[in-house]
Amino acid sequence: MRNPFLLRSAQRITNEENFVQLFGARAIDLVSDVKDPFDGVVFVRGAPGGGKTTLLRLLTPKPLQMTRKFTYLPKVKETYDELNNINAFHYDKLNLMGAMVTFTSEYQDVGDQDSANGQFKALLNSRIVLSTIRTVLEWFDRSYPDELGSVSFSWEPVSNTTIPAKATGAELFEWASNIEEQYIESLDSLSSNKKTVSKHTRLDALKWFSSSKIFRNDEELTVKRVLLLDELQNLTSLQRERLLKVIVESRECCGIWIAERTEALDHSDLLPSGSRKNRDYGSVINLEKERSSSSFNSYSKLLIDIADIRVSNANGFDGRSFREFIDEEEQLNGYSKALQKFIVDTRSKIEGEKKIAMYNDWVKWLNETKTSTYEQAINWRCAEILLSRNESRKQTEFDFPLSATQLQQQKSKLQSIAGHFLKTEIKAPVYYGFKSLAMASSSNIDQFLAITGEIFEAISGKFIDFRSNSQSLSAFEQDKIIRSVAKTWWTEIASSIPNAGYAMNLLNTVGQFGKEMTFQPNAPYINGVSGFAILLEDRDKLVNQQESDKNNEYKIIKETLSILVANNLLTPIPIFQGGKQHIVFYLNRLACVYFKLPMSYGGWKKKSLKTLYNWIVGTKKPSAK
Amino acid sequence: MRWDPYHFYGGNEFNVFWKNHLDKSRKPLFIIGRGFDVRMLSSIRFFVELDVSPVVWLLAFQKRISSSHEYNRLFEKNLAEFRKIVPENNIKIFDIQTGMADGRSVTSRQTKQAIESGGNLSGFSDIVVDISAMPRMVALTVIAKILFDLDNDNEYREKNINLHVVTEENVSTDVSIQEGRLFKSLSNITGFSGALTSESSRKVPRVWLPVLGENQENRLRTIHGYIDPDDVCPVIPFPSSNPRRGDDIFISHRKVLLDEFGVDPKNILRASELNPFEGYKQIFRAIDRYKQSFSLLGGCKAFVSPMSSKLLTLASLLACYDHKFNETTYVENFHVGIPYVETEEYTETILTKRSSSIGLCSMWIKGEWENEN
Repeated sequence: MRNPFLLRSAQRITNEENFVQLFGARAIDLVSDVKDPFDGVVFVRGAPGGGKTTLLRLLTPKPLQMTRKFTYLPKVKETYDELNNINAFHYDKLNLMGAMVTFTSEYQDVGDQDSANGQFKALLNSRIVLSTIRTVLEWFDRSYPDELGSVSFSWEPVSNTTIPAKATGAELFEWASNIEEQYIESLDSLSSNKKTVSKHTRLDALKWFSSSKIFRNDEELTVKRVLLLDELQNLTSLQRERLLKVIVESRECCGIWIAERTEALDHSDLLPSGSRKNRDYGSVINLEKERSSSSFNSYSKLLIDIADIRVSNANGFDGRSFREFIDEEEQLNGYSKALQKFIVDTRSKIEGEKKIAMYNDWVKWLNETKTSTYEQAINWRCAEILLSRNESRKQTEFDFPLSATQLQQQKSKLQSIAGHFLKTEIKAPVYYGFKSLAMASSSNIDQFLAITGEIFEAISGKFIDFRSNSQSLSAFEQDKIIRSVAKTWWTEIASSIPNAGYAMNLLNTVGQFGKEMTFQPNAPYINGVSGFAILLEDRDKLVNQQESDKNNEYKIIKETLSILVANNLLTPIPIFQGGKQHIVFYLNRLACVYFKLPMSYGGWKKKSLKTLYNWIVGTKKPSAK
Repeated sequence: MRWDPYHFYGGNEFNVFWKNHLDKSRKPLFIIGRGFDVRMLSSIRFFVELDVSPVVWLLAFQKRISSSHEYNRLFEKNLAEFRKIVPENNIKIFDIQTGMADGRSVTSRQTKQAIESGGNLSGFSDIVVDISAMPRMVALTVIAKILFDLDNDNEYREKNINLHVVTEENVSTDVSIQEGRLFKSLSNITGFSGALTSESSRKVPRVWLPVLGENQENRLRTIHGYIDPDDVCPVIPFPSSNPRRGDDIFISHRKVLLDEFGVDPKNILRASELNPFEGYKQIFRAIDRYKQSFSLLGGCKAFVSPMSSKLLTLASLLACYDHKFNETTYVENFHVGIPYVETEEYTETILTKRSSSIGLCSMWIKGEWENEN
């Protein structure tokens, strides 16, 4: 049986029916907040595997048509409703035509010998035209390139233009493919000195795309158009800058969506300032950021849909849901001995305290409370933490006895971290259940699929025959798999990012630091510590070019942070605290699993740039101070 | 097929062939790669012992390993040895940039430019390219570029200049050298893009033949992501010096090939690792079957990604070259490409892994033998 979770990327699924069912669900949700999504510029940004191409591909004719066709399927109906809300459909008729152009690294090669940008414009003009012709035929359900003659295009070019004013699809195809072939041949030639001279002085294809009249058998196609530019990070920074300038200045009356990896952004974009001021020229959908800032329930629902659709596509799993195969609860029945031992040990530890008189009420309540062994152990663990907190306070002159009510009041706040401590100490499963899987994905769909792919592998191993009731995956098994995925993922980071030495130093130190801070006896951070913060003024020093040119330490910090943020290994979140603006950098949640930390966000410590530099170059070990 | 029959000299035949071939009338040019690999000097030592005064083009490609004492020591040691063997006046050094600041690989284009900048080749009777210490992209570009020029330049054709490729085959060293961080983007041997990114031929079906080696999961995923193939035919080395190697490689890539790519096990091809010309014939024929079948349906694009040993890498190039430039087998709308993801930064483990090699071997690619046949 083929594991449907290993079918990663949307680009690889050529069948539109499968695509809509596998990827459509809730992918479009994030667009609902964008004002005029098809009448302006929209940036879609994210780390690799975040779902950028998926989002763009959904706006092309075939997936839109399939979405309309499969509305009888509940999951697809939700996608349809979302698309309807943003006017992709009008009275149940398709009202949107997205033409997708993917930037490839050869544009950079063109850029190396193209200071005037003419060759870049020529190649892009030709590709926008070719993609539009293909999209129009797709819209009319005609075969490409066999029925090129069935459509025609006309527009009113300004002088010196390069795209024919009036032409059939076949004529335009020939015009554009000649240009494209010329460039491919020139870049791909083994003979010497084969260079191409461009006559293209403008990016006319933008105006042509937005304004040309499109006909099929004298019937004009009048729908909203959106140009979908994918993989913008494959351009040189100069090409990207020039293209964005042209797009903004031309103000074409169509939608232009630009998808790019966060790595294409400059340092000031990657390291947020905390202000709400938008430096971009249009709306921005930052996939990981939107998902982490939207309610966790909403993101969780997206993942449930993705997982359910994939499970139901697996052979023999028809109509089943992912969650029915994983245990959400762990009774720790197999750990009763360990829990009993823990209770006995903790009781004798507390009873052996010098100031036991203070805690008599606690001990009495703990001994008399009738509940499960696990609950009892949690109660004792909370008491141990509180005792440690009391003991660490300096003001201990008045040793008044502490009431059981005080313990019960504090317990609710400490339950989560006490549970994490306890499970870690008795080596019980910590990471299990769908919420943990969703958290561990760190807002990245590919990361979620990497984890659930392994989970599904284990589930399918339990599937003895298709008629029998399958067993679900226990918390212990899930925990083992998630930890194993985290370990593999961790070892692969170094081979997937530039300047991996510095980056790994920082991640390692932050992880160790988080561990030291989290697992203190008095548990000062109830969510654990999984991040560090810098002051906004320090962030400004880093992104200031003059400052970082003068100071090599700033440069190293800036570049390391940018690489980690661009690859979703650190998540920057602006936070105002203590009268000052901070930028908190949280570890990717899978790194929390690797370092045995709680996965909830919350705990962080402020660090100076000097400390950060020492962490990065590896000259200083983390310190709780 | 252009290289059937072929001229391959391994083991003792290598010595015999070169002792007979390199008489006083010959003016050979040697092209070798500069690096830390101990194999860098194997062939040049042999030729110097034959009393040849070699003219050497030394391809100095950018270092791709973090600063390391051991690396630098091996690198400098090789260079010092080399300078002892070859007189300074006979050495011409070509710097080859492999990566740009934006993280893009430019190795193939830079290598092509380096060979072009070397000037006219008509003064040489034989060009001997030693690919032992060259990264794959450098080696394949050098061979393709020189072969193309010898095939197409009238002056060279009249002189019938010989082109030989020599290498010291050592599979385990090649395997360890592939470890490290990869470039994020795909690159191809210049001349062999296979029109992968062409928008006008976007709907033309794509067939991918990854020539498998050890530990290639990440590289396979990246290349697969770019090619988005309609059919995948993994090529495993067989026969091989280790008879189980092909099976072991396939089993270790089972998950990525079967689960992720959905490869039909019937598509697995075997190509000889011991003789590049046999490997060439096997890969050539496999491509040819697709070429002929798809010609009835509007053409296809075939991509071969060499990830295995030096000899199989050469076999891949010869198969693609023959398909691309052999006019007698031309089919409309057929494209052939050699996509690859280079290693941007090697790990230091490559410095410690060493094993015995199967010795020097030589492949006569072009020249006098073609008139004899």
